[in-house]
Amino acid sequence: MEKPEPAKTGDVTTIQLVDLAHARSGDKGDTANVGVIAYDARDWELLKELLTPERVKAHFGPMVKGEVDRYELPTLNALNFLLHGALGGGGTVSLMTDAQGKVFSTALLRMEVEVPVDVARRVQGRGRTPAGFDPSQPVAQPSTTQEGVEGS
Amino acid sequence: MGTDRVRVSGVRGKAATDFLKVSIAYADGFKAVGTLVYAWPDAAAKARAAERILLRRLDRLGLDFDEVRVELVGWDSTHGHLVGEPPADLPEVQLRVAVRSRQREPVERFTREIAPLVLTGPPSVTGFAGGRPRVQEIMAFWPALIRKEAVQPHLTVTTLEV
Repeated sequence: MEKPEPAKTGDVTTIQLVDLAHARSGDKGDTANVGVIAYDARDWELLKELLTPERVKAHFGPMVKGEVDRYELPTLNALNFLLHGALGGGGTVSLMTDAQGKVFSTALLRMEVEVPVDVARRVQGRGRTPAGFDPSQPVAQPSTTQEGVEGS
Repeated sequence: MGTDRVRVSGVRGKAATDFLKVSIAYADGFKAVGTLVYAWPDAAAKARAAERILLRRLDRLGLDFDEVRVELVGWDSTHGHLVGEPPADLPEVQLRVAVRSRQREPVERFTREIAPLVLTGPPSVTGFAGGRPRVQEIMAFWPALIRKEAVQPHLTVTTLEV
């Protein structure tokens, strides 16, 4: 699917959550545990405002049958969500490819969110592979060597 | 504090509860997963047509499943309906059909419905060299608490001279 063009409405614009935050997830029974971490501490307050449990539940629709609980981890600029009834019964009972919810978090990163235009400009493309990145080449290592650690 | 010496402070504890944790595994029915790969052109449309034929066939056989799940791996298996409809030029897609039942029989019958789909269903299909899907018995997990007095700890030590 093509990424929608940012539609300007006043001083806010629409972006996908993927540019604002990264995410990881896993399972606890039939509950998906989704952690969302702001890339930039400056966006933490915005993230809290955008990702209400109601909006997260609405985003997933029929994929989440139960309630959504949210926990705040301010020192990590992170939110943790419990999505109940999201894994088809969970564990060995589930018929899903992603029965352990390992990539459930990436589906949340599709969410379209309204952010101030200056934020959108700053984070644009943040969550995506940079243009020209060659996965066949090793990533350049930082040249600084930690004390007591052999440099490679 | 010094070499091999640390100070630990502020540690608090609570009295043990009246319960022990028990991890229960129990037999909870049967499942099987059948997959087929459809190639361009119209890979997703072929997979959807195969799905329609298979589901109607299962329905006609009157099989009783607790759940049937259909995914297109390479399109919607992880993000579900959020990705919308697949494009006509998708290079390939895997149709993945999973069924679950309290009884072994309907699941067993399902595993024999994949091959006919290859022979009489939409063309340019592959990925069936592994043969029939396997029926798996589901061992479900129930983490629970049990009152301590319900458990009698007992230890026997036997020493054998060899």
